[in-house]
Amino acid sequence: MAVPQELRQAIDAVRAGRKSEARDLLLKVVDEDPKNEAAWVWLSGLVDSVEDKIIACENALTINPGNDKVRTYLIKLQSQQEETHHRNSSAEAQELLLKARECARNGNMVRALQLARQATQKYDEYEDAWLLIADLSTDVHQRILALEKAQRVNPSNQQTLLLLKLSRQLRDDPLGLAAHYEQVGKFDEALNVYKEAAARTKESREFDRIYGQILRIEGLQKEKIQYVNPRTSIARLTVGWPLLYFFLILVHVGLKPFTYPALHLWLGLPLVAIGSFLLSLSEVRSKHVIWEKLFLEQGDGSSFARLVTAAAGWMLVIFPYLLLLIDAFNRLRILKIPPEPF
Amino acid sequence: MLPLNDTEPNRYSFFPIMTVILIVVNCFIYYVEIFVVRENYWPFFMKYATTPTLILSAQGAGALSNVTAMFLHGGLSHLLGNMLALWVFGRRVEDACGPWRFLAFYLLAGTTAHILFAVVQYDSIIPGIGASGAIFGVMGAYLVLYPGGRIRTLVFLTFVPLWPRIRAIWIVLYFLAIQIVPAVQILLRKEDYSVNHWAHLGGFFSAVFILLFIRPEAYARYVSDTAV
Repeated sequence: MAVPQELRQAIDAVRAGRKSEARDLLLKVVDEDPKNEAAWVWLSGLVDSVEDKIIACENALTINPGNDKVRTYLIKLQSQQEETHHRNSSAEAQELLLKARECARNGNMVRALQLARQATQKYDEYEDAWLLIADLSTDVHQRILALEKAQRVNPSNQQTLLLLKLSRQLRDDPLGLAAHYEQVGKFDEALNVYKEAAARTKESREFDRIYGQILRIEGLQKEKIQYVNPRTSIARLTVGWPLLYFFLILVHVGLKPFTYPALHLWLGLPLVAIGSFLLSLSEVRSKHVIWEKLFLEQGDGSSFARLVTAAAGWMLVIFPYLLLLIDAFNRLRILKIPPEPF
Repeated sequence: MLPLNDTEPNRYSFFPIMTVILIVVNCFIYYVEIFVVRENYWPFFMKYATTPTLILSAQGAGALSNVTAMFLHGGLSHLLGNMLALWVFGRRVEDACGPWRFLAFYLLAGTTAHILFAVVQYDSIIPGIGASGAIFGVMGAYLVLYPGGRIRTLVFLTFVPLWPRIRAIWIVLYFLAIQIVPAVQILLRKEDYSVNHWAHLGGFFSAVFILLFIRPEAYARYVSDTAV
């Protein structure tokens, strides 16, 4: 038989190190008898490219699916192919990303975004490219998509998580985010968020409101207003009402601060202080543990949370003052009017 | 010298609602004094004005009388003078604070005034009345917040009336200066005056507390050394 004869010749050529000759012989064999498993197996070791090796192995397995050695070799080849492909794509993607960054540096944001997108098309798991897309995207939805992708590629990147959180907040509550930036003294960021919100809004009244905020922050920047930490404001504003209460108690008890039965009035002082604190907190937009613990809210509290806090604050402030008033009326009833001196 | 108006506009709010409410309440209570209390003024003042001997011995309405005394006036000129000053200096101080904190500051200034009055004139049985202690506090606060502010003021050059815009510091210093000598005389010679000078000084000193009451934006401007 001609075919086995050529196969034997091919095997001899392989053993003698004449690979090229062996390959030609084997190609002839499979051409004449495509069902020759041994020829395909030998051929898989002689062809140059991984793709051809894979084809040879696949053909051998089609003829004899029970050939475990060929199956193992095929898996190895496929993994090699994937790795090579990955390496090639990654290198191309890196090159594209470098170009994208260069464009971004030169101010050509549109081209930079295009190149970064091409980089992710080449290599989908490219975290840096997704982050660059997120950074360059003017549309908040696209930014969130890019950040979600980056986060899926590297879930442990805390910076990405933070950016994702802020972007989602920007999408859901842009004015709240702008207020947050303003609170922490980032006037530029606040201005950007307001401008983005103004560009997205479709209601003219809402636009006017946002535009008012933009003008206000631009004014603050022109005036060079220093940043004051919200905690300072809360602490400062908390002092006023208790101080007034303290002075009123001093007037009320006169020179008998301890003998006069006024313990309940003194006990009102911490209540006024707590109430005043809640009032300040409801007014100064600031992140606080109360919003998280009591209202299960992130950020600086919703309108509802603020309203409830302010109402509780007013009640706590007013209650001790009412006790003081009742005590004053009780004393008034027993007052003996001294005679007129004139 | 009669301050007439602060010519600068508000920055944070449109209308000084609490200042107007205080003026209305003061006028209403004066109406009650004139037409309801009438001859019966002595027991009324003993109950609702600040009398040092009663305050120090913890008699009478105490804290309540301290507050009510701020709304009592001894005559029409007393009322008009105080209310004019409250309008002139209170409007922009309220603007910087917001209405409720302005009220708290106003009451605190009045209370400080009465405390100083009671401490200095501890043996006096003359009831102290009037919003002037609180208003001196408001004037001091105006000076703290708006040191460059100018007030339209009526002055008479012999018989010729003029109404220039004068820097607030000169007006406040003028009103403060005319308290000093009588206040010292009260302290040293135990002289009695119909005007409660120590309450005025007490109110003025309470102006330092204004920084606890102004809104965050105003405070940021204050610490940034720009116009509040």
